Amino acid sequence: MRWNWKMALGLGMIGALALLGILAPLLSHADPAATDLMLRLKPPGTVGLLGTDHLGRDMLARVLYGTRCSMGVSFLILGVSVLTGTLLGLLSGYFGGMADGAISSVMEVLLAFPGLILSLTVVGILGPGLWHTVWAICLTSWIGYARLVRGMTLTLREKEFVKAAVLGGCSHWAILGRHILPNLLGNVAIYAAANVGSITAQLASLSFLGLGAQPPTPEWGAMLNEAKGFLSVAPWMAIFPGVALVWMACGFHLFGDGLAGLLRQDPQGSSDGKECGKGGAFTGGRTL
Amino acid sequence: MPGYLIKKLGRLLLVLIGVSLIAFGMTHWIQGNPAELVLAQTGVDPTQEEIERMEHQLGLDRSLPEQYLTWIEKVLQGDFGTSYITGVPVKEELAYRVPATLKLTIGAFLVTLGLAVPLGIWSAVQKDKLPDVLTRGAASMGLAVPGFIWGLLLCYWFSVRLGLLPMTGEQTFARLVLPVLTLSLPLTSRYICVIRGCILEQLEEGYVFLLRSKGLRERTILWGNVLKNAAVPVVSLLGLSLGSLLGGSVVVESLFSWPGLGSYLITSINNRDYPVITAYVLLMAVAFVLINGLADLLLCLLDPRIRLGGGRQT
Amino acid sequence: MEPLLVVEHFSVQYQRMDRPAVDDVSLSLNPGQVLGVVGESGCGKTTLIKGILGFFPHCVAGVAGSVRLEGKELLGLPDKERRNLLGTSMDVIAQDSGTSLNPMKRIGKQFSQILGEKLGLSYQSSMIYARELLARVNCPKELLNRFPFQLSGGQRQRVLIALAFALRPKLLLADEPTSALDVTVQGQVLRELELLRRDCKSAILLISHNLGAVSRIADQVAVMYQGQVVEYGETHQVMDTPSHPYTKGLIACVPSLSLPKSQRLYNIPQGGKEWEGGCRFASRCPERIPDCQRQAPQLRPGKKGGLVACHCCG
Repeated sequence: MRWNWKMALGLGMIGALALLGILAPLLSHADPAATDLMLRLKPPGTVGLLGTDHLGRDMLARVLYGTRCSMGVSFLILGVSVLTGTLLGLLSGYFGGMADGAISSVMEVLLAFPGLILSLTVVGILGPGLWHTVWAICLTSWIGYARLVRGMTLTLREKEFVKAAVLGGCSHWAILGRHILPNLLGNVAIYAAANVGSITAQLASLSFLGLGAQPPTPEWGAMLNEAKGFLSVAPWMAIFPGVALVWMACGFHLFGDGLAGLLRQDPQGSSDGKECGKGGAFTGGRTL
Repeated sequence: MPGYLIKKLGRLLLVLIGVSLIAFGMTHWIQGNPAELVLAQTGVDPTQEEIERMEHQLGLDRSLPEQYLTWIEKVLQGDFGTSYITGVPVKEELAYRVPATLKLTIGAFLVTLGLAVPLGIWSAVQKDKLPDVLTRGAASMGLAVPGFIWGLLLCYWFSVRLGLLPMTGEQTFARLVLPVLTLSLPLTSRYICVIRGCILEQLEEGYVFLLRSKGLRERTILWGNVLKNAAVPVVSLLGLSLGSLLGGSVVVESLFSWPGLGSYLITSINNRDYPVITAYVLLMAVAFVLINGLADLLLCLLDPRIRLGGGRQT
Repeated sequence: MEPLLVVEHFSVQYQRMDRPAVDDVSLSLNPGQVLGVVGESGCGKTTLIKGILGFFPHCVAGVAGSVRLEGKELLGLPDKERRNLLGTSMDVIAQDSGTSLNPMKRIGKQFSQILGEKLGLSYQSSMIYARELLARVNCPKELLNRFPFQLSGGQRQRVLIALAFALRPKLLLADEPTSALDVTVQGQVLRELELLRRDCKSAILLISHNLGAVSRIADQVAVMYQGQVVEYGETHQVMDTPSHPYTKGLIACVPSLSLPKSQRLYNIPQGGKEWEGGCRFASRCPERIPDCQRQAPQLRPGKKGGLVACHCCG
């Protein structure tokens, strides 16, 4: 496998952030949820390395522990969406018929909404809360995988090697698992790499709206929401979680770009930049 | 062309019916009994009798299809019920908030077009030269980072630090600048990439080679041929992107306390004010369907291959 | 007579390729004559045409030699001067007629755009001229109101020839003008090329892997193999009494209707290993001698006239 700098840099950025999240207890001894009103709104350097927020909580601890929440939950959502989306896409593309009709029409209706509005609706039904937002985002993000996989399965099903396997007496599951799935994985990986960034953005956006992680859970979006009211007196409350979020978003973006360039086997690499447009259309509906 | 449009419209209609079913189901199987919720506003524990009376008043004791039909009839008349919280008809609140959101989204859409079209073209023409690299880098950043972060940054610099643009108060033009910019930033970035990509793709086409081999000026080739052809895929994206503007408007409105639909939705979600949520979802679905219908119509007018029903769309 | 086109020691090297796509090619073409260039796909024919036109893709690493049109050096010519030559002094008929016309523009508009810019004709007079041109290539004038996807492949190719007619180029580069067409249409298109040559006194550089087409209208033939000219001479001499083993193979490969059914079609054997020096064709050559692997043969006068690059038959 040939590496490119975008992928390596993106992976490095994410890896470093993940490491910070894992090592959070070692790097900061403060409790991210412990409030101390005597030490509220202290600027960086005075109390703790990054200062304190409006309730006197240690910013360093909150940003570090926030990694766990923001990144971990994103990966969870990614996993759930990839699995359900791929499975449903495979089933509906391979077997067709009623199952396909049902799955496709559900997708069609769900796609009538921009991603964020659908998530908002689900949160609206379930009520605010981190786990509710997780389900809400899962509900919107599986569609992309299902659509991609369904389309590819439809074409693969007609390929000679699949027909040969059918004639050779392979069971449906063997064909799906051994002949169709392996041929899909590359594109699913490209999509996932581009999609994980949009998942983190959605999660952060919902938390920023006060619908996701509820205080005192340290989550960057929610922290920014709290910081919004203190921009003039305590900008550091916004800066550190903001920087962390930008860091993570850029990491995922670079990684996705690099991976797409790599797997498309473009001899020019992704420096050509045409993928930029395609990728944008591909991820579909990156909302605020 | 009529065939193509009718097929598209039929699908959109189906989507609308599906959405209305979901919206109805959503109001129906939500957690908590709306009747109890309404009565809870009075502050006293309601008796069983009172709950039943309220259920009857809200029509909750009838069969599901019946409830759906009466509900859809009302909805078609623009009656989305009354807010559980304020007791004001949702319709009235919407009449006040829809224009505010429209101002924001249309403004952002215009800004997006105004920025992305020239920058995308410029970037494509200057491919791999400094302006292209810079534009592409900026667009990448705009795409990668969630929009509300840009919003916070704009807020901090222009409002808090420089005090140039107000964050609160009347819905003036100055007040609109920051939200519109924030809302259009991610979309602008995406469009720059898409437009650039489409133009570069067109420049590889055989007809460009032909025109070049006839010795036509690059200007004629670009403005007289390539741009129109490159517009086709861009226009087909238009519907989707207006949708993402509507989605993004929720975040931006809440960030800038803009009294539009989005901030109304957030308040309502926090208050479990389901009639408002339902109304919002329906409105968005209708808007989205309309926008997509318009985009399809535009595509039809633009592309002869669709209009005349021939040829493969490439 | 002063030759119209002179190509001398022309080489084009692409990035990341171990050998030049066009390697030390020398050709010359007199006014009004037809030079056929034949060879298998990938032998550098299309690169040669693009090189003469001066269209080098980004992945070209280096260009050497000289290309002169009426004594004027084309390599390194400023874009503006080249534009003046293109179309009127030299023109090209591209390989794929399916993509060579703008899919979103009516044929008439495409005529008027080119005629307007190159000849300064108004829309009305360009339409009159276009009708005349279409009539000359046996196309109904109604085509002017159609879109390219509404035309058949043969019609599209004839429209391209009509477009080439329009500017009366002194040199026409025809890149596989018939290979995408039905056999029945191929003959007509070749006739129309002949007509163009007669009416406009154009010289034609005809690139094709169709030996039949080349032998029919070409005065001279150059056979290319892996970027190099291996045999070059008068058509009848090259076709009837080929010298180079590759030319012999090519001619033997053409299936004949009179061939007995039991006889197997001739096949040039595939080369075993990568080229490491010496003659490019050596590994596939049935007549090779030890010298072939060591030393590259030069193009020099052959026994039967013409030029041949071969150690054993020169």
